[in-house]
Amino acid sequence: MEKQPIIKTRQLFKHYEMGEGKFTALADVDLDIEKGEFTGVVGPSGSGKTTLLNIIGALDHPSEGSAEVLGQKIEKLNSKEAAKLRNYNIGFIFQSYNLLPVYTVFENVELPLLLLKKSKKEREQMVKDALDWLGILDKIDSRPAQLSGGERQRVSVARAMVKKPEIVLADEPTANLDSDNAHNILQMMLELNNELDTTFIFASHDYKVKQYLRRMIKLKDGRVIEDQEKTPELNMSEE
Amino acid sequence: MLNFKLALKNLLGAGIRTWLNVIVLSVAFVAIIWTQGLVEGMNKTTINNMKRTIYGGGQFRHQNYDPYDPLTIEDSHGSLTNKLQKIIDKNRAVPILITRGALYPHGRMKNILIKGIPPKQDLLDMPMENLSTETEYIPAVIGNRMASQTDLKPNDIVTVRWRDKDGTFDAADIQIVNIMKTPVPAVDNGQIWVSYKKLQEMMNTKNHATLVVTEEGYTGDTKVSGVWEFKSLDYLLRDLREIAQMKTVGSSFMYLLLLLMGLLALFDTQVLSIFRRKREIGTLMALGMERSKVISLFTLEGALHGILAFIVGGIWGIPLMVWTAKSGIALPELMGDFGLAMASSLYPSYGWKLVIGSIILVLVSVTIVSYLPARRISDVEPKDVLSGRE
Repeated sequence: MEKQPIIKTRQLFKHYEMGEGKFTALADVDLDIEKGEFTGVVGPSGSGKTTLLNIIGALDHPSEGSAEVLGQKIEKLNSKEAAKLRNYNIGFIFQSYNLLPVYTVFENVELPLLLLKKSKKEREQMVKDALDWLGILDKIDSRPAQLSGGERQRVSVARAMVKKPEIVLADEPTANLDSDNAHNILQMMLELNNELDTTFIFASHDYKVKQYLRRMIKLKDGRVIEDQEKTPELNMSEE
Repeated sequence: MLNFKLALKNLLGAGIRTWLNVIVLSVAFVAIIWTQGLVEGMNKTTINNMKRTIYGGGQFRHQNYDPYDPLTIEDSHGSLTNKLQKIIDKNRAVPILITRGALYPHGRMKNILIKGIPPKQDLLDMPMENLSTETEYIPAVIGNRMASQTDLKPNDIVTVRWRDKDGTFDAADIQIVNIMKTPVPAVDNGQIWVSYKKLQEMMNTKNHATLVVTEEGYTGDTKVSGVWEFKSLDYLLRDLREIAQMKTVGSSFMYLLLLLMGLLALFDTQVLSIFRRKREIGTLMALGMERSKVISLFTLEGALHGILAFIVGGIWGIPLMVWTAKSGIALPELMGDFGLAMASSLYPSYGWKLVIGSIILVLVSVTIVSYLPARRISDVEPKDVLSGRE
């Protein structure tokens, strides 16, 4: 049976006001992304990667065209509905981790579950499972400042994955990591993708990320210039 | 509940910044309640002293009696009616006769009021038993202020001159049998106290009085005859209450100043906090927290400063306030000269209205001050702050 896309963009444009003129960050983007994809949006700085992820993540609205995520038209969502979509269905991984500094690892990972109003027992179990999975259970009571860059990004991945979202959006997740840590993190994401069938979308121009992708969408000046299925150069069994 | 937990965690996690604000606010909290307690205590003490020494539960006054007009005082007395006499006989009231006179201490002349009071009265807080002392002179009691003004000491003999009811001048020597220490200048400054009967003899006004002071809480008959008018305690205290009101308004400036200081510190922290934590705000929104909830989280964080300040203020402020309320605050001797019926110590009074009112005022102000900067969160775009554009 043919898979239905969970993300669909049609003639998607995004313009920004720039003084008296306007800057077009995305132009005429048509994309279909299916469940379980491990996809990367690649391109040079300013090509529109982050803007596309922001629109898919309901953090921004299209200027023209449409973006449909899990059946919901992003352009029609109000801020409450957008928050709900993010809360239930989307996990974010950021380049600079964006962990809350006064919270422990446990509390950082627990936060999305608190927003979902999960019971205490459920939260504890889910957080521990996520941390165990990412190999940082021993850091459960540490604060972000006490962790290395790689460990912080793992916490960030755990926070994105703990609620088992349908989609994970990762914006330059390896940009601040050394080569070993970057591969470890990507390996783990790939495993999560395989195990949970979570859709991963990366915005990156990091070669290390490209090695793991099964589909690569190239953007230039806001336009899709190439969209190709590919065989990952690295997969779960090799690094 | 979630916001409360997060706010508390953020607040405690902020460490020294939180505690500095909390300390400033707690100082404002305690100082507000304490200064208002002082004013309240001052007002209460003054009113109580006036009630205990001269107002009782209200006064029957001769219709001509005007305490602010010394020139009519000699014509402001009259016979006690049967009804009044009965009230006095039941020890529910004390008659006082007043006339003008002159005192000649150490060769100087001082215009005074001569007041007659039964020596054995126990309704008013004035020690007058010594007026029964057997002496060849007229026994007289004066207050400590009067003693200081005239340089008179116990057992001193001094000449006093007065006019009887027919206008005839008379003079006699009086002997100071007691100097009473009273907090009430109104029964002390420029006056001497003699026996009620003796003053009647001196003025040739048998059975006359100028005013009759009833016992505290007097609820008896207030209509005794056309010559005597009953002045209720509320009427007698109205001037004092007006002064108290003015003092309260005056002290409110201090109150507002203290509050403003605390609120300014908090406002500053909130503005800085929202500026510094934009990325955190964006992260919370990206995780699915609604914008309005982020605003309420930051508002709550600010408001919790007020609650923490209340707790911290309670820890150090309650013992301080209880201690001052019990031991009192020593007042300089000069206080009496300002016309305030104050004892040598001032006992602050913290009514529940004052405490609850102050708590509500501070907490509401803190919440408003926390909300004002937090509103700016509605301008924060997560897409901008997360990518570091802001």
